[in-house]
Amino acid sequence: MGYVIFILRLLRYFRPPMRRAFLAMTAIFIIGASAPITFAEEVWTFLPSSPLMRPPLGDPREPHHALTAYLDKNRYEGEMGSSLELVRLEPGDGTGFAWGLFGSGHILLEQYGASFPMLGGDWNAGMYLAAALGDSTHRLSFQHLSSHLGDSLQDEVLSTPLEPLFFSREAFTLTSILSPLPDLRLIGEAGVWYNMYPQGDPWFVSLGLEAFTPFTDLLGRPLRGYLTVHGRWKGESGGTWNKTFHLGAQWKLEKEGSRALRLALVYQVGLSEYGQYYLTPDEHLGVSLFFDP
Amino acid sequence: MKREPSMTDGQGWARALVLFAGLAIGTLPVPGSAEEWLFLPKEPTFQALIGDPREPKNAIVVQTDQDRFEGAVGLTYEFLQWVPGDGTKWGWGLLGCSFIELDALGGNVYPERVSDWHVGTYFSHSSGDLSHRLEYLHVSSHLGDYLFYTTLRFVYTRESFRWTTSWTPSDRIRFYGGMGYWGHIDPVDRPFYMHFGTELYTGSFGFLAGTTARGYFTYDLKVKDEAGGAVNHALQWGLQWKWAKDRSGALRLGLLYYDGNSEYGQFYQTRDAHWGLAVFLDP
Repeated sequence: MGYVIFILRLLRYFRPPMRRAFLAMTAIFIIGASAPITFAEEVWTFLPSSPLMRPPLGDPREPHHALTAYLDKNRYEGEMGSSLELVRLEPGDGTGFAWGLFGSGHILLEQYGASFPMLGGDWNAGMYLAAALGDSTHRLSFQHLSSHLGDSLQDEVLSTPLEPLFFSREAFTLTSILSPLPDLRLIGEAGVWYNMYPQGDPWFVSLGLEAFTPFTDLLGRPLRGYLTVHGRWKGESGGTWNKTFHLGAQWKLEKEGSRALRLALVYQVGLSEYGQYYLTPDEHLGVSLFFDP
Repeated sequence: MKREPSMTDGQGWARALVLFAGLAIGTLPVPGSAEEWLFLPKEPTFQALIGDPREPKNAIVVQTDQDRFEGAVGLTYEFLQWVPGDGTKWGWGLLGCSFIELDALGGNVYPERVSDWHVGTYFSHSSGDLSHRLEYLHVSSHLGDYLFYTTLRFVYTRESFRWTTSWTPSDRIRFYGGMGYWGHIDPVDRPFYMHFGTELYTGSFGFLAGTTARGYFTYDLKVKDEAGGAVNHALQWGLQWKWAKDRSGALRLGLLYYDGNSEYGQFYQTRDAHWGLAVFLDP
């Protein structure tokens, strides 16, 4: 413990505030991860096929591959997002530790007849450290986010006072998922933005749950229904909650694996998740197809 | 004025289906063999073309001589694979990728120049050393908002059919070639293009902590009728690092050279030559 405090003090002295916090967590992580080596039977895996923490399904800003058609507006969304775990350590005592990267691109399109002009696009990239401890998994991530106004609005930018926002920021986020039952997951998240443009209260908190029905069989593969509820409180917008609900079906390659097709009705209410519209109210109902790798 | 052919004419679909039906009839399964249907298989029937700058990929690129960065997030997702039991495979899936190019202005400011979005579906087939992929792909390209005051955007949207045949005579050599046709192309331009390339690998060798690695070289050539005729060369020299030789997941570090017209739609008539360093994360 004394050694940990010594490391934390060193980091506090030499590093700018947010980086040293991240490095401190990393140091604790590494120290914690190295302890069980004496139990032997440890397994190192390079580029495992799925991440240690199964990503929250209902978080609209978790990296996913998805296509969404709004049912109550002429709008579409596309998302390309991947999490790639670089290395995982399973010490043999039931725990697991991992380090990986993630990134995603999100695009919001309007529909006018056969044309689909772009309204906005967001890009995320970052890295994470994850730990699995019994029924719970935890992830500490560092993320860069930028948001860009769609080019279909260029004419308005040139002819009206509308201007693209300079929307760029980095966040540290700690996410914890507890699985008290095999078909239930509870999600909690707290994060803080750093280097935040436009400036504002940097804190955000998320709460969520995922509930699954028992599996049934469809063409020889496991199928189950699912419901997710996800709420994100954002300080920057004066303490508003963005709420997202999924009601859908998950058709999987195998019960325990992550690879699945998901089809869901998605309802979102709150402020827009797209950075260029982060203070604009957004309520919509959509149907989404997710391709979980 | 002559009307450009479009997807709604149905001719493109008809040609593609006839082509694929021809391939299918030529390789019908042997009666009595044990066939297998695989749902969401982890590895696609047609292996990704790692040297093609527009193949779906996860990558970060630093253009070392241009103060520019690129990012790509993409996926090839096979829904269904049919293995008739005669040594052939058939696949159907979806592919998509988003590409972004950023300028580096100093002071940690990286404004977006352009982003391209690809989404499509494909049918693929493999038999021994040969594999084939027929894609239907939608592409759109969007000017970055930081260029709004200096560059006028235009609507760049198109759909294409592309056929690619790949020949892998050994695990160290791969050749591929094919052609494509933009059934709908806006701005209107000449719709045909051809595509060739090769991948060369060294033998695998032991690397850090019991992992395995091998060197690789790729050359990708696109000859496009558009923009008055464009010839795009892409070369890579790199290291592919895997946990084990037979695993598909890999981390690749590559040195890139690109010379031709820009692959980004908003600049498809603009010459682009650059060197780059890239990290690829192959799932």
